[in-house]
Amino acid sequence: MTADTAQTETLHETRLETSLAVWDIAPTVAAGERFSVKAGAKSSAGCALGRCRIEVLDDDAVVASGSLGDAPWPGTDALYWAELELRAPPTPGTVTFSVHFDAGDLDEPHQDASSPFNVSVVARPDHTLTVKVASDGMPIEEACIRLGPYRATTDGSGQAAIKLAAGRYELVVWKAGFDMEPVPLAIHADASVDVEARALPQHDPDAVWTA
Amino acid sequence: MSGQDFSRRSFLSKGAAGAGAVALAGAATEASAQTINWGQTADVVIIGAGVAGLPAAITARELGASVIVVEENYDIGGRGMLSGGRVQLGGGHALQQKLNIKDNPDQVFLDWVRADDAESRYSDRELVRVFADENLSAYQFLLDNGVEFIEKPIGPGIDASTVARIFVTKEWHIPAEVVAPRRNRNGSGLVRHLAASARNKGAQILLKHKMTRIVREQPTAGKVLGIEVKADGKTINIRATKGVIVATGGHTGNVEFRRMFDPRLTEEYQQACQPYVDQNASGEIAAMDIGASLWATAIQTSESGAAITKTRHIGCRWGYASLVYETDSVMFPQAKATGLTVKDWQDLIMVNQFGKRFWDEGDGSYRFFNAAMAYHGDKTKLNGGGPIWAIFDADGAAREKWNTKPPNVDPDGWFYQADTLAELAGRIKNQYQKQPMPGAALTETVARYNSFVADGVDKDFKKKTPMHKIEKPPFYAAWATPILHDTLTGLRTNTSTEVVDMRGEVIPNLYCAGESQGGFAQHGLARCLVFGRIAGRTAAKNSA
Repeated sequence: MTADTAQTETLHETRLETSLAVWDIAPTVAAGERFSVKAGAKSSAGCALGRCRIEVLDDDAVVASGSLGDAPWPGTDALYWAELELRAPPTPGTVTFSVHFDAGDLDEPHQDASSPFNVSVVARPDHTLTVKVASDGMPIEEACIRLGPYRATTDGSGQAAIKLAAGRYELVVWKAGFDMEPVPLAIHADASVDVEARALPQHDPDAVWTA
Repeated sequence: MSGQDFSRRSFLSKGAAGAGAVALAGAATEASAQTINWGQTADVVIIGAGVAGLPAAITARELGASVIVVEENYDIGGRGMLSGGRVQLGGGHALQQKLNIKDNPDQVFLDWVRADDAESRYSDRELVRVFADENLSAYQFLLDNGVEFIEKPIGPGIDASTVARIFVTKEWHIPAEVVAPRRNRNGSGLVRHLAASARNKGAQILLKHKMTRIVREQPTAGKVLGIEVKADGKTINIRATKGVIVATGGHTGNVEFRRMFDPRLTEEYQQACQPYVDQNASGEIAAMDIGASLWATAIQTSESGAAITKTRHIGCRWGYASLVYETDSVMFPQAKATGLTVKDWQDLIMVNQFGKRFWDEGDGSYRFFNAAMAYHGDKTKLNGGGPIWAIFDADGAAREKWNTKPPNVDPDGWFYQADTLAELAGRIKNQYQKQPMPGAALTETVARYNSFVADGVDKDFKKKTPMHKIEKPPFYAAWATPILHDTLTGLRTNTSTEVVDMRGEVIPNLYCAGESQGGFAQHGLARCLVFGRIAGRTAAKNSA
């Protein structure tokens, strides 16, 4: 072991770990459009990381950057975060970006950290599909809707509106306690579809059994 | 002593006096009723004041026998106290007739020996035949002893029964005596009424008396003479002139015992109904010490019924499917948390101790349990699958409308929160987590799962259309290891509940009923009630 490597290892051992989170990534982003994500960094010692630099890389190119705020993300102990705006590539597909935290010259030395995240880039939406989910005439709220990469959740009237590009999809609806068959759809104009949810005869172990 | 005129005070003073003088024969020496200093005597001594022991006590008293029931817990009921109160007694009783449900004892028998149902195909058909023939009288027995039923059946279709045969008892009317109030613990109405009736009829129930040995004339020969118990730190011998009934409630909580059936069931798997009831195999072990054998052991591993259950109330030690100890439960100081009730398995993933997914979280079958208990690569612990943790994020908690703070969760080893996934993995400290969960592994697992959500396809375990990414902080890890429930088999008995040894010979004056009895794989209360009555009857009529 040379003196240089020993010094490097000693330096490395004294650096605190940093871990990252990336969230609020939209299920789909239209090709070429701007979008934002949130990214946060956490010191293993809970150190304040506000004003540290955080970047988004596409391969090795920095495509977005900012400084972490001075207040932790609500609900966390010390996750310092920033909202970063970037632009989607011009062609549809799944794109992998990477968030990079630059520990810089914090008073307490920290390790840099990186974390990848994926974005589903889709063609620019042309149409709106309205999905209505009901069971025996009763609207189903908070049912999850999926068409390929597109996602939505029904509102109190059992409806969800999804902007999507023309194409062929399989509509999948999920709600715990119900069964719904997937529906093949060809979208080439605004459309609406009604989905009948079949209530599953589920046994609720917590149900109170009364006369 | 043949009467029931002793008081608890006089009993204890006798027992204390006797304890000092007793030189009870050891396991390898010969005993006789005359050589032992008996602190107390009854015709029938019953070990356990639960769903089998209480009807045994009532029945024996009705036949004129004096009865002592010893119960190690501070209160009666056993697991029946925490049961949903679902009694599978049919055969065409009055309530079935009132609701125009066609049934008869032969149909009860045919249902519970069905070859196409794994819960019934391994049962001893001679026991099932007797069970079927006793259904009507057992139902009437419950009514006669104050038990009330809700006049609305459950089923058929949830067990081997082909007709509606499950009726639910009404919950005990005093919440403070329900142990887990307001959580559908209707079994309290069954055991409280039976205990009251047993006491009214003269049975003496001795709480906090723990059976430590069954006394036989010779180590594995001769009659059973009585039992040895410990109470208030003292050893007391209780003579049973007609017989001892083992009604101790099963073995599920005893790691060494349950691993005879399935070596995978190591210590990390908790027992449902703890901490109120410990299914500690005390009756089975004491009986086997004097020669008893097991019976129909295939039942315990038939991969059907509720021997193993999914933890639906996560983030606490004893999650189970339905049992919740609310904050006003007398058990709450020990249970420490109510748990978070999972409504949609899409809102979380489950990982093993190494931070890796192992199966479709939505599956509640034995395929899930087998995957959870599979070898995951722990070179220091080859059996058992180790802890299972539910992992979810702030969005998942919001969808489930969970409050992730105590008393809903127990942060002392059973629930963790962190700002990042890597940090979450490092925070998990639990007595059964033998090594730290690698943060990188958990992070990678979640990233892979999130890619499945994006694609709509779970390429690893075929979870039906994974719906939600796990990405928004804070992140959570909640104890979600499968929990053990039913003891489905145990001591070998004949149809009169006489315990049988390895050579097929009856052990004189020893009887068994309830979850400690082997041979009938039925979940719940009915078989315990039926064979408890039979045991009480057989013992009371014993003239040996």
